[in-house]
Amino acid sequence: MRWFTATLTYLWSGWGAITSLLLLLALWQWGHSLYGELVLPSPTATFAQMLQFYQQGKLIESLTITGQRALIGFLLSMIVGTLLGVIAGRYITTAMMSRPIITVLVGTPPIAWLVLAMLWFGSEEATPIFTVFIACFPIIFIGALQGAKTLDGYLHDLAHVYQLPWSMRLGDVYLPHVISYLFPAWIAALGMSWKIVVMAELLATSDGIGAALAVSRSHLDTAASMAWISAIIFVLLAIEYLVLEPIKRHVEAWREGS
Amino acid sequence: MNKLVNWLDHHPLGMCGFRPFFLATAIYAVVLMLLWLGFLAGLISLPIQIQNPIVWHMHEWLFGLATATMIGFLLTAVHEFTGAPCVNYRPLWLLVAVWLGARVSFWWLDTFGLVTSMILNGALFVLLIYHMLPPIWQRSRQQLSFIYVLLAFALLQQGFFVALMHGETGMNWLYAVIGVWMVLIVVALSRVSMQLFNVILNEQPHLETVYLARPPRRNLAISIISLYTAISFFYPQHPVAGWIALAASAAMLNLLNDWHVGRALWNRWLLMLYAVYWFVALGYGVLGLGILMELAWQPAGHHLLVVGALSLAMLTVMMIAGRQHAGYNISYAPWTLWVVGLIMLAVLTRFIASAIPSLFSQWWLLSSALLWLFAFVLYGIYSWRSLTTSRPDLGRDCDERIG
Repeated sequence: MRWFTATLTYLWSGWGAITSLLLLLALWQWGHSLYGELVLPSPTATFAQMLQFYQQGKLIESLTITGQRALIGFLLSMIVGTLLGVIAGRYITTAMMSRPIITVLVGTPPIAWLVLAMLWFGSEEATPIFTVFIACFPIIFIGALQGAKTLDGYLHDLAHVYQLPWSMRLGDVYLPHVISYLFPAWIAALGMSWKIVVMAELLATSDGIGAALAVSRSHLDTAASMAWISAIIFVLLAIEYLVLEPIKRHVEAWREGS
Repeated sequence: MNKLVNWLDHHPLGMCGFRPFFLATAIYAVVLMLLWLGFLAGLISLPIQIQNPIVWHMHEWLFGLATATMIGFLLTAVHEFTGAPCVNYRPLWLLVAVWLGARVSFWWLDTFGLVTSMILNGALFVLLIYHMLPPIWQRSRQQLSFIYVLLAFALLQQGFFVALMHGETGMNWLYAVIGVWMVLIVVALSRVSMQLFNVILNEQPHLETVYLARPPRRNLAISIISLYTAISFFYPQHPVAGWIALAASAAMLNLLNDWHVGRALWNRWLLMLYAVYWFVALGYGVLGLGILMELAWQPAGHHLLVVGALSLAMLTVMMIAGRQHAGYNISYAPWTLWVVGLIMLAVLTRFIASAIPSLFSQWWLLSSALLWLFAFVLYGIYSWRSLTTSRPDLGRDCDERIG
């Protein structure tokens, strides 16, 4: 019951965000009044187009394809980035060594990775997945590295002296600390993965939202383009407020308690 | 003559601002609705200078009826918030006389002329600000928002009269007044709800709940309602106004976050205030959807705001403040529920009449008018004693109940 009330309270607090978004729609509408249908279709025309895509089945199909690619790329970088980052953070030598490599990875623009991926994998599934993976990897790696590096040595010794079982050490001592660094990195990477995958699809694939955007652009169909962009933003908002934010609150609840 | 002077100087009705004005509200609600129904039935005619009869209906509703409640509330609240001496007896009777004069001048606009009515209606706000500004300025400047709202009312009303003089309907000025009313509801109810919540929480310490009407959410709601009011004044049916109306609705629902404090909310008086916020949210929601979907929902939206939010706010405030400041406890008698029930039904029937036009619309309208009328009649009957007789407690003038 308490969980149910907390969920309702959380969902109700979303009205603040909805207020801001509706004001943004008013601004969009104003832009439409100034520049006309061709440059900026109205929000209602855009949503009507989106509804049409939904009724035709295109919306769900494209969202599923794009979502799968983004998720696979993100999960890969999450697993590899977290593991390597934690290992690198535990030893000063590896932390020192990995720093310049990460600087190179962060500094390389995702579009450059995309070009390389297109050369290596062609117009295939692997291209957007790889681009997402390589763009997200350094963010997660740095988060994991910082988390592991800043682990309190005394807590580690204490756990050792009291011979805490591994499950307890991991769940109660190491994880809460590392997660507090990792989680913001995962969130940033997940948000980025969604943007990167659309960009990669736009140039490299024949399906997914990015590809649909490319088609609508070639037809000079601004309403369709805005509909696809709105769909991307809806998913982004849904992931942010319905998935990530509740998890973040749950995971970081210990901070407020301390 | 001496008898009259003695009556004016000593009768309990002149003891505090809410007494004559709350009573005037109850009486004027009946008069106003009967006049309106009489006009709709073709029995009486309205002034020729009013091109659109709805303008007369709206003006008297907003500046006659609702303003009477507002004056009663503000005169009492200023004493409560600042500790300044009450405005009572002679200065109060002068306010009552000006209010009555303003009403009469508007009923017989063709006889008195627009200028007379404009001066009398304007004088009412000038007098009110004259009584309220010094104590607020000297003792409690955080209450200045009440003065801003009064200034907005005064300016909009003068603008309305100028529009009439130029041969316009003046409708957009009155729609803007509805917006200012909604702002006043948010400002005033935050104060009322804080006090009421604390009284109720003190009575039930086991609930361990904290209620705070925090400014950020309130300020957001006030800003967006003001923005909608300003935009719809110039571009009433523009889709930008539609989106902002929806944002105002969402901002009101966001404001309800402060109210979700668990079991403490399950009190009839708190639920009434809570329902007022809901009506504001629904009203702006309907207005926004109507504009965006190009449906004729404007009357339905406005009636949700005025018949729903404003009527309920007026009656709730009158039932709470009218008893507490007359030396009585808040009443939990069944009639208070009847009053709210009648208003709820009046809103529902009025909404159906506007939103779903049909052959039966006039019957829905008549039902709504009668239900609304009975709510005020019931209030008048049951509050007559507390408003017109001496205090039963040790308190004086406008004090809250003591002992």
